[in-house]
Amino acid sequence: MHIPDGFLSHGINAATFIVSAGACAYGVKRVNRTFGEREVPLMGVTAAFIFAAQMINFPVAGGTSGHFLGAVFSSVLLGPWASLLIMTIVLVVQCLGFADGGLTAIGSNIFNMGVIGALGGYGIFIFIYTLFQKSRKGFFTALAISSWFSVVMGASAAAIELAISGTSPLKVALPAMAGIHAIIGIGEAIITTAAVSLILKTRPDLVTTYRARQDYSKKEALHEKTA
Amino acid sequence: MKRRLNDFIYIGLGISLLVALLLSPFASPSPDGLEKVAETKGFSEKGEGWAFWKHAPFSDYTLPWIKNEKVSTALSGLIGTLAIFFIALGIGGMIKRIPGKKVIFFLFFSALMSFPAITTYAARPLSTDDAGTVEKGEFQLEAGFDALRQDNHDREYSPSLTLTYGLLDRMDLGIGNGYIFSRPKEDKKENGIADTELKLKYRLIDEKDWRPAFAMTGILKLPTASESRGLGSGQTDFGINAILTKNLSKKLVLHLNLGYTFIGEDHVNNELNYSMAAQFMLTEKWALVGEVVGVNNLNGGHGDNPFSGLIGTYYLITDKIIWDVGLEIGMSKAAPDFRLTTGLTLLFKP
Repeated sequence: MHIPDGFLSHGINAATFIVSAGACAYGVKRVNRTFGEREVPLMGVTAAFIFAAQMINFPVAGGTSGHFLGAVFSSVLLGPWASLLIMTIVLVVQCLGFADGGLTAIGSNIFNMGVIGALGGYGIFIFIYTLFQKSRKGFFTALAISSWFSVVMGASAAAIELAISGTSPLKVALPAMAGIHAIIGIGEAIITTAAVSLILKTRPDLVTTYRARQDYSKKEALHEKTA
Repeated sequence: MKRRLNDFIYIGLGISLLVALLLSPFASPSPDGLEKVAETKGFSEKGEGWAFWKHAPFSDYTLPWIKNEKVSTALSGLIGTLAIFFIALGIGGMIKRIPGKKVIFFLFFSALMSFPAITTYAARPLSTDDAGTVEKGEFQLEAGFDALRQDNHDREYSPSLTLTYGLLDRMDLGIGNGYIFSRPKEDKKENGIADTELKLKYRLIDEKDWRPAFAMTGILKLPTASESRGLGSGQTDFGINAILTKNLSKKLVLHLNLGYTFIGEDHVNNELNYSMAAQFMLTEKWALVGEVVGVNNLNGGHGDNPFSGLIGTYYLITDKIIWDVGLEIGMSKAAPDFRLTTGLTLLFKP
């Protein structure tokens, strides 16, 4: 989903760059407020894992391949703002170090995979998780659905940017991008759910959003006691 | 506890390195979703033959000096994974330890510098002043609208107008005022006129060769806002500001401001103001701007010094009409949480 140089117009690149830079600046502020001693090494290892996993393209239908995105994965571990920063670091290194994704399109790539993927994906995750009243089953359902959406929404945003740039009309680009990424998104959902459940089995305290659930049920229990 | 966390980190990093080393050579070589769509829908040639950044050391996940493709991919993955780990660790540590403002400052300018921006027309949406003055006999009208939120979720909306007149070739005089809609989270809503600002700017040195343009301004703030309703201090302030402007290239302009404000209100310290801004022209009509702005109120305490960063853009609708928008994000407790500003600048001759 990494957009190379030349696909997008300068206007789109500038607009997404501003939005992404603003979101990142706000993200730094939020992370500055919430990060403790333990989150920093976790951020390092999460970013490293996402980078490594993004290299592993798996084949999907019709001679196409897809790879892990990791936006919802890192959101669930460290919160959406830290996840946005992780995605930004990974994308900048991929662009400057590995010529994967164009430098002029860096704002768009951060927008699609960080702002839409991480923040948007996390929004969907929390929405579904709350809908299931924060049960364990709800946690994994929300994880699978939101990680699928993070890929499809990111790809749809890329299609809209391509259309505004005049590269490919929306009615061509949107179904094509959303269609192929609907399949890639299944891979995303499987990997995210598997990886998070593995961490949840070994170190449940490291999954921030799941911790929030435990706090939640504790509060609820306390509430029942007092009532 | 600490020990166990370390274990997790080592195991996690170990898994990531193994994934990069052992699995990456066997990754599917087929085009990814976007590449495939570009191929079938016929726009893949747009991305070929041109790349803005040509110095990627491991282009397409290969080490150029290793012939064996699989080994080359595996090693580049290993290097990348380790590099990302330390970079993210470093940035995470910076964000956690140093006050957010320094991290923003660093990221912000590295981002601005990394971008490829003409002459400067408008000051808006920057609050940093530039050394340019309005042409003699010409008027400049700036209309703006600001929406800001403090950390405690107090909100304020204020439309404002500033009229500047070019008195001489190198001197202009401006007057500005606004209207404040104050919406505190808990207190009463208040509306009213803001303080009036008078500003005289004189450019002492024009830019030449390596020498930046240099201008001085005197700013007088008249207490037209209601003190009892909390919209102003009720006292007159006077400030002086030194401005340096330098065109680094045809596209990139830097502005530096250093000022001192004598605050009229009792028991309030005078302030040192500083800011740095960059303007980058994306096209002939479209510029990206960014700045960091800080105030030191010289009382030794760091907690109540506002410090913030702004990123924005302006667009020249015509040579005489400029539209702008900017987002300011506070990096310290005393600065607003965020401020959104948009406005129009009109240049006209009577």
